[in-house]
Amino acid sequence: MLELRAIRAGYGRLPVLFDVDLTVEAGQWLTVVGANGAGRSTLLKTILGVTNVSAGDVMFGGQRITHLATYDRIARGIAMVPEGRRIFPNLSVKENLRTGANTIAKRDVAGQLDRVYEVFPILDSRSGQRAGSLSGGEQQMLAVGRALMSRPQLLLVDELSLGLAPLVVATLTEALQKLCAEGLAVIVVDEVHVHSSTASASQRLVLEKGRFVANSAAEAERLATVL
Amino acid sequence: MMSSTGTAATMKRRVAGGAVLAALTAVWLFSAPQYWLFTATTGLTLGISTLGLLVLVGWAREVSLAQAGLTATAIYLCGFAMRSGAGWHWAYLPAAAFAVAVVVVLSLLVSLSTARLSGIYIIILTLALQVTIEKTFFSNIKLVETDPEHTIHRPALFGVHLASDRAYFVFALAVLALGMVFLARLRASRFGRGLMLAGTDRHAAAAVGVSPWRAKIFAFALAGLFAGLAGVVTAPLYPTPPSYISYLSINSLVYLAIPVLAGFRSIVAVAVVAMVFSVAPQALEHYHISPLMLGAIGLLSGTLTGPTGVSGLILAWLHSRRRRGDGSVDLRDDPAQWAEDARAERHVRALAVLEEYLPERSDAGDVLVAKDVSIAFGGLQALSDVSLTVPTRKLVGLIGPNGAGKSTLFDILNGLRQPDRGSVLLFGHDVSQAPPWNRAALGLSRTFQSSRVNLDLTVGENLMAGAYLMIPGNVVEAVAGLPRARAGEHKAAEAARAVAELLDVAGDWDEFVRNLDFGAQRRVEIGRSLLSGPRLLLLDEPAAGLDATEATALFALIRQLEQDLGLTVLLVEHYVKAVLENCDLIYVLSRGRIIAAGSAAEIAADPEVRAVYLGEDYQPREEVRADA
Amino acid sequence: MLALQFHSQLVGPALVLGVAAAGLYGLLAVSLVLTYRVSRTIGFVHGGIAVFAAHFYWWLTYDSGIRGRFNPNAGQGRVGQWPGLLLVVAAGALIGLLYGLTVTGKRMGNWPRLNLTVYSLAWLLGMIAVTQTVIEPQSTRIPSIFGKKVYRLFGGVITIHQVATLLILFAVIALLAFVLMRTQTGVNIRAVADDVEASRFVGVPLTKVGAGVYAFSAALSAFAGALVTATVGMLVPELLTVFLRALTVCVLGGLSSFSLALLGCVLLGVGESFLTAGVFGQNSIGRQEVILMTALFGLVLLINRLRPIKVLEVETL
Repeated sequence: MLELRAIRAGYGRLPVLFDVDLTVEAGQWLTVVGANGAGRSTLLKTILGVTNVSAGDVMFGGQRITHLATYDRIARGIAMVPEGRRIFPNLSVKENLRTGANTIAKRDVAGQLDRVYEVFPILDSRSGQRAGSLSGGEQQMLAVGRALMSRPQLLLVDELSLGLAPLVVATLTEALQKLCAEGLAVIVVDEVHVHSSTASASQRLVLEKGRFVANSAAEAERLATVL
Repeated sequence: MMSSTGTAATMKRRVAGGAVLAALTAVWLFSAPQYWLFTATTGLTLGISTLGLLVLVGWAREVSLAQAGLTATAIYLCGFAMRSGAGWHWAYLPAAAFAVAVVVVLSLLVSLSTARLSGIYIIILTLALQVTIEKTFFSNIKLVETDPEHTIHRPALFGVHLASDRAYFVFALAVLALGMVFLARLRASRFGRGLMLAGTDRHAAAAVGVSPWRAKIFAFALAGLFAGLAGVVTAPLYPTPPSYISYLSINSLVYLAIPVLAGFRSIVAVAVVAMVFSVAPQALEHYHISPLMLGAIGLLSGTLTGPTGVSGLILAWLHSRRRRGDGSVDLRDDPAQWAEDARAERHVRALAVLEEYLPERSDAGDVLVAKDVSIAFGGLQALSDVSLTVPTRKLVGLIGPNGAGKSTLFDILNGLRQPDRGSVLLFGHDVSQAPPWNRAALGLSRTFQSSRVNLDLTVGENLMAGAYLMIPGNVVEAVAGLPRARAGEHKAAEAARAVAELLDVAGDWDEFVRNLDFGAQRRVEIGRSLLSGPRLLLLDEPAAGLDATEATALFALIRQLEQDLGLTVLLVEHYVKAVLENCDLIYVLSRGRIIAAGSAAEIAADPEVRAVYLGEDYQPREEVRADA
Repeated sequence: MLALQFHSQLVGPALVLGVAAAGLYGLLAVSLVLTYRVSRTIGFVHGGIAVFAAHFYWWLTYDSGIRGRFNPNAGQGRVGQWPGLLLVVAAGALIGLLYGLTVTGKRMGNWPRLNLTVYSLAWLLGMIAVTQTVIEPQSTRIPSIFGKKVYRLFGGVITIHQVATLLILFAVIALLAFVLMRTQTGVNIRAVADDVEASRFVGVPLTKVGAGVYAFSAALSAFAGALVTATVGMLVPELLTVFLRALTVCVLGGLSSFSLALLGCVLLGVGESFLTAGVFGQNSIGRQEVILMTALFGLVLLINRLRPIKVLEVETL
């Protein structure tokens, strides 16, 4: 579904990612780990179209989307849960979810809201509450729910477990696993030492200084202890 | 005028260029018609005023919309003081001093009330000052009326009578030249560098000992001084007060456009652009190019080129041409044995220089003690009852998952944030309420998670900016080049070169930091913090963006700094292996609390740490550091 | 020199006049706060649009195009007053749209705020430069589009022009409140105001939102510019003074709060009219300016003290 071919991307004159190749199919869960500054967020931003690509191609559903705008990529089925959640604190829970629904038809919004409430019932009970007053775990659920509003086929998650209690992370992981089983492709990037998200991964890659250095689970484990 | 260090060849070129320029000017001076002389003189005064804006807008990065009004204030006050009849009939110099003083006071008033507020307030307040000047000074009959019976006359200075327009032009040129020299000396001094650092990054400035507020106030005072000077040089040019129509708020915008277009890197460019802005409308009269149009184009180009302006583009082009012709070998790539030995020798020498540079501090007691520090913001309890002790001459590590609050803790230790509860003791002094620059003066220096280096400056310039606290002498001493300041600069430059050698960026001394890779940028930041003469270094993820080899080398250097130079280091890191191998003491922070503290072996075995961060199946592959 | 008298009997009428006069400031304030919330930079461009609008309105409705034949009462312009106003507002919206498109595009969206502020100043200066080159400024006031009727209220005299301006302002506020709170567009605008980067990540159409907000704000500024020709005239220094005053009171709410900005407008209008009506005795224009500015800024600084700012946590420009 998603394919990155020899991607070179970054900010300004110096690239952050070098010669990156990646393939993800429907229903797959890929975890990418790496130290801070290795290029984790840049990888996701490149897929989403926020960071410019200086060489290589991004293919989605068989089509070249390398120079497509972010809005159009979201319309095609890519969605992102940004690092640090980045929910809109002054909007209500429901309004936050609605910001994720800009690319779907207006008549489908209500139905999509219901579906998100199904996955995260706590959002339904807090739908009128100001998002800034939610707990960290609830905000993360809101961020994921917001991303799900656009009916994505591929979900990009930047640091799923940042500052969250293990129980909350488990709930989130479970919810995502269920969606994965229904066909959603998931890419989670995280720092090296978080193991919870990798347990559910069907594929694990290690990013170091802008390059993938491990392509098998075993090799990745070995490298993780070195870093 | 790019770097403060110039080779003999560059100096010769500059002197030759200056001589040619002087000759051309002299020829023009004696052949040009009078109205051209007049226009050129106003161009010179515009240049003087906008030099002040260069300091404020280009270096301190604050927008002022009052420069035209302030210049006019000085013109009118000086003229009024000199005039007979309704005026005070003073001599030129006292009148000029009075006018300049009033303008400087007005600038200080504005800056003192807004220095700590965001830049928005400064812009609006300066605009308000401009409008207020228009409504008060410009409406005051006594100041602006044209009274043919009471005119002012061109003064005589140092025995030279400035009655002729040619003589006056030379006088204005001399003042402009003096102003340019003054700024050049200032820029090469610690004050200029500190100002520029405060302008581009307040937090980084605070961390090396520069108070951003004082820097901004200083910049405003200088802007006022130059506006005043421009005004008092303009006043005797006209026998009766000039119309204020060239000094309205719109004109302040045009003034602003000049340093924006010229760029902050070149003092000469500002004078040149000011000249062009004055002369072009006259020269291209039938094209009806108003100064306003030029100003708009100038501002627009400034946004496209960025703060380096047009002069930055030219300098960058020259720089890239020079680099292309440069065939020097990067010693790092040279595998030859003799290069390795030579490098080791340079390394040892650099360590010796740095050791002499760093100030003596007592080794007694704990260097840093944080007790029960708690802080909450954004509805989150970021830190709860965090207590931390950094013993002297030790390497202490702080690890934990992202979002645990490590950078927040650093902010509190460093002074960028005040905790809700708890205290911080630095070298025995209670610094809980002290601002970062005071802590820096005590010997604390810090780097940031996202490298806060100035991308528009070279490695050398960035490093030297860190030496603010270590160079003695006040502004006068620095600008005049008196022995104490000069010796201090020399010593700092030597130390900066030594630091560059230790951090492997010596080969890039003249390279713009923008062109370096991420790891090198971080090393430059560490270097800058070393130059502030610390006894305690707080390093926020120094190895981020480095691969395993480079990280190991960096940690080896940090160990060397600790052992050979007696520095104490507290660092945040994610390279657990490096931390376990090198640190004497490790704290683990998770979700705002310290969950473990101890030696590397204890930390690696701690069950909670394993559960929360390292992973249950974590096995340290090499020997962890034995207890010190 | 610093002593001020107080004439209590003038307070009533001056109060009425002041509130009525606040309408114009209110229009500018709404447009400034709206664009600040979306871009976190001061919309200096609106000053340029207001100046342009004032001149363009005059040129359309009163400039007969025949040199030397200027009769401000005849209205022998190129178009009538209402079509002229409509054209001016449309032109303002177009300019705002253009500005908004450049500022929210991907390339410029990443500029530091200092660059964006200078860019805004560039447009301010550029618009004034072009306007003054093309249309010669006139030192006169144009009769109000709403007519000459006056009303008496609590001893004060207010014109229909002021009443109409206030009513329009209320209508604009009501419209804005509705859009911001009850439509998808409003949700998007508020999201962008909260976090621009996150809005991009989740699919908020930034260019549309940004350009739309700028177009609407510019239309408001253009409207204000056209209306101000009846009270202040066309001279640039006077127009910029009005703009500056509106900007200053917006700062009362940190440029992000509509309600505080509007409160500021009322205070400003009342303060101005108190000074001109002689509530504080007869003062020269210069003195009035100083008093007004000092009071406004004192208030701004006071409000800032009340919201504690911790040492270095203020946002840079």
